[in-house]
Amino acid sequence: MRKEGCGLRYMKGCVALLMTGKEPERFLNLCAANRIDLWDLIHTEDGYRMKVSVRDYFRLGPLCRKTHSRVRILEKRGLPFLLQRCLKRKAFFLGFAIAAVLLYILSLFIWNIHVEGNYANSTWSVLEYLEETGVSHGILKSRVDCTAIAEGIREEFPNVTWVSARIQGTRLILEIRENTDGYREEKTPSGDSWDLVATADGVVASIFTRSGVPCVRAGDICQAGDILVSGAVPVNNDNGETVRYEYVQADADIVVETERYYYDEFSMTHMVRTYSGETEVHPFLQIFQWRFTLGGDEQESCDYLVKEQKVRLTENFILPFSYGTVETLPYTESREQYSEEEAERLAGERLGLFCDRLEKTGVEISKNNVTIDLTESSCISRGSLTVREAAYKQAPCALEEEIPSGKEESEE
Amino acid sequence: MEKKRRSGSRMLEAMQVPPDLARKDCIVTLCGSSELYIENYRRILEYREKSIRILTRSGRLEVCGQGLTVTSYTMDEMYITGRIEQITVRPEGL
Repeated sequence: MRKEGCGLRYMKGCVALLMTGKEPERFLNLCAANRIDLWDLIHTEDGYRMKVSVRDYFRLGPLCRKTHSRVRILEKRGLPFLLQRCLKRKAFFLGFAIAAVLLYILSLFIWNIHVEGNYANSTWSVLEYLEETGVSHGILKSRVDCTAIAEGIREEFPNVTWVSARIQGTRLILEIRENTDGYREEKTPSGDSWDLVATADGVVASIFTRSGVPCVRAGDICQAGDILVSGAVPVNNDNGETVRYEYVQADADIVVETERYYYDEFSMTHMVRTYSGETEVHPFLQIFQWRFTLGGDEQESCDYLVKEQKVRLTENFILPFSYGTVETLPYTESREQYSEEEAERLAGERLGLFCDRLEKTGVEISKNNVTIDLTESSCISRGSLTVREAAYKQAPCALEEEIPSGKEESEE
Repeated sequence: MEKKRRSGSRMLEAMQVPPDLARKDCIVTLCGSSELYIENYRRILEYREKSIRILTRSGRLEVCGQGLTVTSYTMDEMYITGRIEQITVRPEGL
């Protein structure tokens, strides 16, 4: 069935008509015979309502005269009528033109930097690096060099193995692949060879040398700076005399038992806050560093719980505006004294936290000699912790004195 | 004249030409009870809200119902919507 779509009819424009007359059927048949398309034809008490295109409307005149019918326009619809109305409103077209120009100008900039595939390196660290290199939200697309960005990220982040940077619309998309096995290239001292030197005083608990000459044995006492494994390997002649030294990269697993001193002191009196439970919530709007809070006065003994939502233009493009709520939690402060049990428990917890932090750095605590002393005014924890750790580092090889060749011969 | 028309019609039937092409018969397609397509009609005889009478080459067609609207109307086809209750075909001469 031939039928124009609603969109096409709207584009061409149409009119809703009310037709009255003595021979309505004749009028309709004449319309069909003259190929005048009618639609939404309804018989009402007033007459016949129908819709017809603007072009066909001007062809209805002779038919009306022939059938003694009258046609009245009820409604004008479509783009031609809309444009006609809008022509009177020059500001509308001006605004339309300005919007188009603005859209074009805005499309010349990068408005979103999207980073994906990063797990070890946070998005913000990548964005910070980009900002240092001058690539930030709002930069001109023509100024963005994707190859340079990819190379820069690979250099800045050692665990990044592959980077793809591309511009899609107004987005700069960075796809990153990281080394997932956690391997990081260790910083080694300059030069081809090095020693392993102690970084703390202690007793060597165990030593297993893979490369180099061990200078200590298990049970030996070492001091910070002592060479534990030397990278200078002596080469002896048949008489067992050292002829020269071969310099290698010393490599060993060394565990050194060291002492860590611990001191912690806190007052036996402390302030306790009692919250009244009467909370007030006030909305706020922040523009740059200026915050406008709706209602609520600042109080002295009061905690503020701020829930802030930053306004984002795109995924990572944060505008300097934020909004949220400030919840005030009023309280009263009172001074209280720890009981002996409480103080010992708190001191134990603080020591436990210290030990946990140590152990997270790969240190094994073998002995704990911390004692807790309680006085009237304070609680003091002091003592030492015996720990087993890899207390050594790489240092450039200490060059041995060269042994003059042919010395023996000259003596002879 | 009638003889000529009949013989022509037979010949077209023998050639297996569809009757709507051979005799320009009216095609009426009813979708449920709310949509009706009519093709190959001649003209509208009467159009009221509750009935539409149409002249076809083979007779008259009367559509009765409630709120009948001619949604689309051209020389060849007509699309009627509304609550269609009855369709009556009256052959020519009756």
